[in-house]
Amino acid sequence: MGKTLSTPDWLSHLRQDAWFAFEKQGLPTTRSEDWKYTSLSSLKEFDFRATDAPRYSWPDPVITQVKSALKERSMDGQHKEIRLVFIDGEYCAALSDTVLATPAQSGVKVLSLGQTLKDLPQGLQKPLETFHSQSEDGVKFLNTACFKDGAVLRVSPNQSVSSPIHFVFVRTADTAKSAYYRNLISVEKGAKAQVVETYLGLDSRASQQVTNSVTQVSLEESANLELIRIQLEAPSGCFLGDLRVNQEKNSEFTGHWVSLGASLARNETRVEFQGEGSTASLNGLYFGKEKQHTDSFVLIHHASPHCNSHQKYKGVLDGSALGVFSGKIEVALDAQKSNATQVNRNLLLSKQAQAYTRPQLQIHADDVKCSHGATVGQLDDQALFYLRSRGISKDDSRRLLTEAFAGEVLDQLKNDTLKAQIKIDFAARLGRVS
Amino acid sequence: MSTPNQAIKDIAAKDYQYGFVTDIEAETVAPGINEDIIRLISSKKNEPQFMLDWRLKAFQVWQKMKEPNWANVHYPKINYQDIIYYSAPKSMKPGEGPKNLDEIDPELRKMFDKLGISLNEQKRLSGIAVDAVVDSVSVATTFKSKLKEIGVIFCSFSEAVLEYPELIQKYLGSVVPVADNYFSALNSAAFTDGSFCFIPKGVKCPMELSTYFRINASGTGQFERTLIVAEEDSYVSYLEGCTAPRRDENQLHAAVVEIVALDRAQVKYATVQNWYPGDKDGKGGIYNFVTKRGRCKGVSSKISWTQVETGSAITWKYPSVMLEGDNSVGEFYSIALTNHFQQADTGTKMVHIGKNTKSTIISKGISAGRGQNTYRGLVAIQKSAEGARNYSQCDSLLLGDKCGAHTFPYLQVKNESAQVEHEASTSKISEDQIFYCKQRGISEEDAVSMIVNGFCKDVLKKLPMEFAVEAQKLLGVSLEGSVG
Repeated sequence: MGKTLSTPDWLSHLRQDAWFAFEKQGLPTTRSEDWKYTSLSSLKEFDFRATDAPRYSWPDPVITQVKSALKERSMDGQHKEIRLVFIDGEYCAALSDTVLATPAQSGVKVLSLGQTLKDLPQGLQKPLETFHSQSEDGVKFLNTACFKDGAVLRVSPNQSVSSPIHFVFVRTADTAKSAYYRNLISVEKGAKAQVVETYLGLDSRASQQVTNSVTQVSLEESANLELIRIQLEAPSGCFLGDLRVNQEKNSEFTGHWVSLGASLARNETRVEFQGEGSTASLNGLYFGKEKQHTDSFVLIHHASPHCNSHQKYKGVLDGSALGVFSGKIEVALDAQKSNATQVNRNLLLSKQAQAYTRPQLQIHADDVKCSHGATVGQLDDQALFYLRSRGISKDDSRRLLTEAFAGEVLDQLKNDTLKAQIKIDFAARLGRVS
Repeated sequence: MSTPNQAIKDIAAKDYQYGFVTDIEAETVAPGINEDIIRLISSKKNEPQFMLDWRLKAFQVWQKMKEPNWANVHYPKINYQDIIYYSAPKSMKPGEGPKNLDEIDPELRKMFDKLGISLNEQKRLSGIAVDAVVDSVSVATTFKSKLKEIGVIFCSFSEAVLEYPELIQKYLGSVVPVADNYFSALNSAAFTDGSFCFIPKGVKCPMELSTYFRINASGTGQFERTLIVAEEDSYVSYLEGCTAPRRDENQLHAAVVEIVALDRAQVKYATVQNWYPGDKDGKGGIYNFVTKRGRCKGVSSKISWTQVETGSAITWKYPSVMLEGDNSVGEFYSIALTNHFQQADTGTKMVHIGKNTKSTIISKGISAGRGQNTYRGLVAIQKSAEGARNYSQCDSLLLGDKCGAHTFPYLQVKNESAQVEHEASTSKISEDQIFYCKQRGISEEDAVSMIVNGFCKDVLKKLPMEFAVEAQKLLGVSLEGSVG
């Protein structure tokens, strides 16, 4: 387990604890309310423990393949991106930039977790232990027990990082079955950053692969972070993502979740308001066709008064895909003046497509404004008619309307290069709409 | 400056006015449940063999089941062997009971007069037929013969088992199967009475039918069963009301209501539930764990549930509709109010199976004091439900800062032609609203009750007129002392 990292004692204990907890509990089943609509039974035979010997270099064809993919997904524009690359669970130094408080980017540290454990281990123990103590199910225990590497970002007080920070997690045709990542992001007082996590499957014929990635975010007072998670795993892939955000006073978090790939994808997002006056905006777009299954799970805990949260999740489902949305807003007893909205809209494009949605409110304070809405429907006949009457073909009309539906979420992305890229990705995955 | 909170406090303090106990000699059996008790209940009612077999089978099923714990309610574990499963006023001894309404024990009659329900047909102004159930037995059914003239059967369940066994055999358990859930299985084994209603083909029932449930004896549970069958092109509107004495113990009420609607039949079922809610410290009160379900078996049939839930320490129920027939319609209108330490986990299930089926859900939850109010609902669109349509709206109003309002909707859509919408909001009465009313000379207390009534209007207007007035009053009463 995770032998590539130099392992302090506390971490060995933590991993052991987590592994025992996993052996005891196993994977979550659909009997658990949080996993009601997502079954992991296809992973029953999967050998989670199988770990490969660490490797620090890759054969040239792999590097070439990854390089060209990176070029395609680069966000270099006005500012050059700062990039860390991981291949099949491991850090690839050759393709990454590391920024260790260089003068040009003073106050920003971007490193791999392995390096951080070696050079700057202080400050890692607490978040890792906290995560373990708050783990809800076997998927998280597995991550703690097995994570091999990940990205670490620290932004010093009052620094505003203008370059987008890009973490790329690539799956190749390598035999490695599972990849576990643990990413730690902390944005200190008054600082600002933008992070993109791209999960990319390069081999479309790969056998079953599992990516299990946990990102822990801590935002100090008045910090500001935009985090974009893009899931483009191979069609046979399985993606299990977990994002935890802790927000202190007056901080602002914007999260985007775009799920296009994998046969089974689940992303959990948990936001906790620990200080007054914080805001979190979460946007999500999930697309499925053929037999894809996507599950977006959101929990926002208003633990402090005067906080705002907004969720907008949209699903486009074609073929016999199944889209699941579970969103819960919890408002604690004294979290007065909380403001929370939640919208989930699903578009079914085919007869076999299915959508399950659970927008939930759990409110213990009275002076709040909370609302949620959910819809499941199909393309508007009148809108289709309007386009067709203007000479646009049926397929084009349907495609236009579907892209517009998804665009409402994608347009929230602030980075134009990225926005354009994702729109192309979406259109490509969508394929022919008829 | 006085705040809306003061007015809410005042409103929430009013007492439960149906908390009296009537001294009636009762015949009870020993507490606990086992095969012997079930045989005893069955023999007391002179039931045919098929009924006893059905009960025993249900008992076996129940023994194998586990009490569910997923609801958002908390209560100490119930000991099912401490409950008395049969208690009947002595004057109602089977075979020796009153032959007509005039022979009813005057004490019983007095009790119902006190509750505002007249068992005396002649004196009654409004045309509502009542089946009055006290503890384990039905004591009277009014307007029975008049209804019979047009073919409507309206009688106690025990009577129906004896007189219409073929109908009971055909429909009993056809909507809520014995093994549906823990409480329905227990009810199937131990139910003691209830109402049976049959509307034949093409008949529009000319008056409101009603069942009034009263728990009087202490230590007992009430397990009743209601079965309503509406044949082709028929119509019936049904009302249910309930109250219980004020006691420190918690009593269990686990009823099952089944409705069958055939082609183009319409059934409206309204409940004003006002069981004793416990005192302001959360002591005592009824556990109301009820299974209610309707089956729209025929094409274009319609079942509509309306409920006003103001009583009970804990309410745990989901009146549901299985929309099997094409073009059938299901409706659910609900007001649930929790005050003091009351808890409610209620909502509905709409299962769309037939084509072009439609359902509407309007739920209004009001929480005050330390009340916890949960809406939990399922809208399932099956693959076969081409063109199904659902609209759900769940609003919560919070009065006070120690109460909770929770919304747990489940939407499962398996057909692309379906249109499903859900929206919900949670808010409190704003100072602006109160200020507006006060500026126009309306007292704070009146303003709060006006706003609450306005909040509930969508549901109240679905109730029959007499009930709507009562429900409106009830909302005011139940809130008293809660504001704060």
